[in-house]
Amino acid sequence: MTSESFDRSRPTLRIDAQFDRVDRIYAPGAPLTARYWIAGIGQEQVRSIERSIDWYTEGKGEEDLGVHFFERIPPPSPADAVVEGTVTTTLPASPLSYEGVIVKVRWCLRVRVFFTSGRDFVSEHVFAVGDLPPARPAAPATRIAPPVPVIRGAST
Amino acid sequence: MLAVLAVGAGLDLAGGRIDWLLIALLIPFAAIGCTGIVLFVRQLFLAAAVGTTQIEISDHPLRPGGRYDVLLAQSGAGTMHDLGLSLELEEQATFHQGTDTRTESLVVVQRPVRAWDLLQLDPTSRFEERMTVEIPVDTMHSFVAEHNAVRWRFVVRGKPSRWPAFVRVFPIIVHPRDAARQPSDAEPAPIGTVA
Amino acid sequence: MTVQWIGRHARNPFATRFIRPGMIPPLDAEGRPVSVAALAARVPRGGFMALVGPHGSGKSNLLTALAAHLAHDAVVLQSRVRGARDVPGLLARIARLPVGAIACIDGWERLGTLGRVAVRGVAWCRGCDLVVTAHRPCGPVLARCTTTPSLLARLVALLGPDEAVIGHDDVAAAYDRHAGNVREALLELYDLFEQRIRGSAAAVRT
Repeated sequence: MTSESFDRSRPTLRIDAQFDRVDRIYAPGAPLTARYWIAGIGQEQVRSIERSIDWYTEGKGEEDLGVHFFERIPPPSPADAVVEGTVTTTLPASPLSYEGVIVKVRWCLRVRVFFTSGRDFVSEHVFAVGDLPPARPAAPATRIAPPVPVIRGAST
Repeated sequence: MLAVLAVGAGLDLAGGRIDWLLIALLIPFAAIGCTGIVLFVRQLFLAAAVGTTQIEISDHPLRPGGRYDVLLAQSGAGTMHDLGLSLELEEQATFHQGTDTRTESLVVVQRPVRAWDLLQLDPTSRFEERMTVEIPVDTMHSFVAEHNAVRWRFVVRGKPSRWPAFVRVFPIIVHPRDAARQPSDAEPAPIGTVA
Repeated sequence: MTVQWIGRHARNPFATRFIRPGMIPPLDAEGRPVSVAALAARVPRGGFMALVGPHGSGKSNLLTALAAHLAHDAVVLQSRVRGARDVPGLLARIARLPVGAIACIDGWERLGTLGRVAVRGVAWCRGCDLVVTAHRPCGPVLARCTTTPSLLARLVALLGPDEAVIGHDDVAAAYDRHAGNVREALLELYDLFEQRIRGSAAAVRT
């Protein structure tokens, strides 16, 4: 599944995640458990780690963001080559994941590593709440034949 | 101030004097004023001729998969060549274009509910029609954020004879689907009246 | 490169999230990276300089990158102006800046004549530099932003769409249709990507 990592200056840092549902599609209100692994920190010191479950919009509009779960945890031990963590939460009823044409709503696990040098590294791991089919632009409305003769006067 | 100048110009004209500078200054304001009056009168006639459109629905907010009784009421006089009610879902996205802000809209669900043509409207009583509308099952609920929105609405389109076509929009709210909840038997709730 | 998928759904590389100012490294007219550091070194102290170019030529993007670089060594105010109504708020914020700060103003011409005079006056009084974007020269020019088909092609390559979905011909056609306005071309490519992924008919758009 897709993960995005932003920090071209740290190509060795990598964050992977695994969700308790293999297909990553969750019903609204369902529990979610995700594990993540942070590897390749190297010698640089970590100041803190933030993990969150967010929804965000994507598409033609500016990005909107909603935080469902957020936690900042203290830095790991410098001796740890790989840092592990688990996030558990109950998802809300909305918003559902939506694959529109110019508006899309996505849910993700976001793990952010802050270094004492001031740099940070963000990784997003997308999952779905609900299983709506993708939207399509509507065809112009076609006329439908009225069921009864159409000349009407007084209300019924 | 404009009224004072206009009165002054009028008095000058009545007295046989023509202040060309004053009249030249007043002409653009007079043009704007006359245009405004014409537009207002036109809107007034349109509202009186076309009449109000009202939508009532048996429950609100709505849910995907739910079936709801809808009452469409149209008042006015004369012949309505076309009148149609449709259920629509529209996406709206706002983004910055350099220093401009632009909003784009796109209709992704457009379901005709009912249509009429050559409808004779009686000015003494309004036209009413009841029908059942089903919200599609696998569709997005209403969603509004600062820059993005997904909005449901009823849209009434009409083409009265001798008058321009009109489009009247009645926003509705669709909540996420909840299998445990049943539509209530509450009194019909009007969701909008548009003149 | 392949289409990036989110579960069942393709990620549109032309979404605003990926193309808004600051998300794409600034490129010159031929699509080569611009040295923001070299540009920043040319910003004079106590002065006024403009990034000049037509609509959709990358001025806002360059200004955002420049402001981020300047912020390493100075206090930077970044402001996007929509009209003359933004003047009072902008003046208030500039008046609170420390001496030596830099105000980066996107949309200089939208301030209006009086607004521009007022902002320049307040910035001079505060000892602040001004770096602005404009469509026409309005003072010393820090950089001229222009576009070419190569620039758009390079931008699209950086965004990484699958060439099976958006090809070189599509990019060139978008550039020509929008007369070099890269921003409009990218918005068109967004629509084209969505259309092709869905295989759908023309959109109902308002």
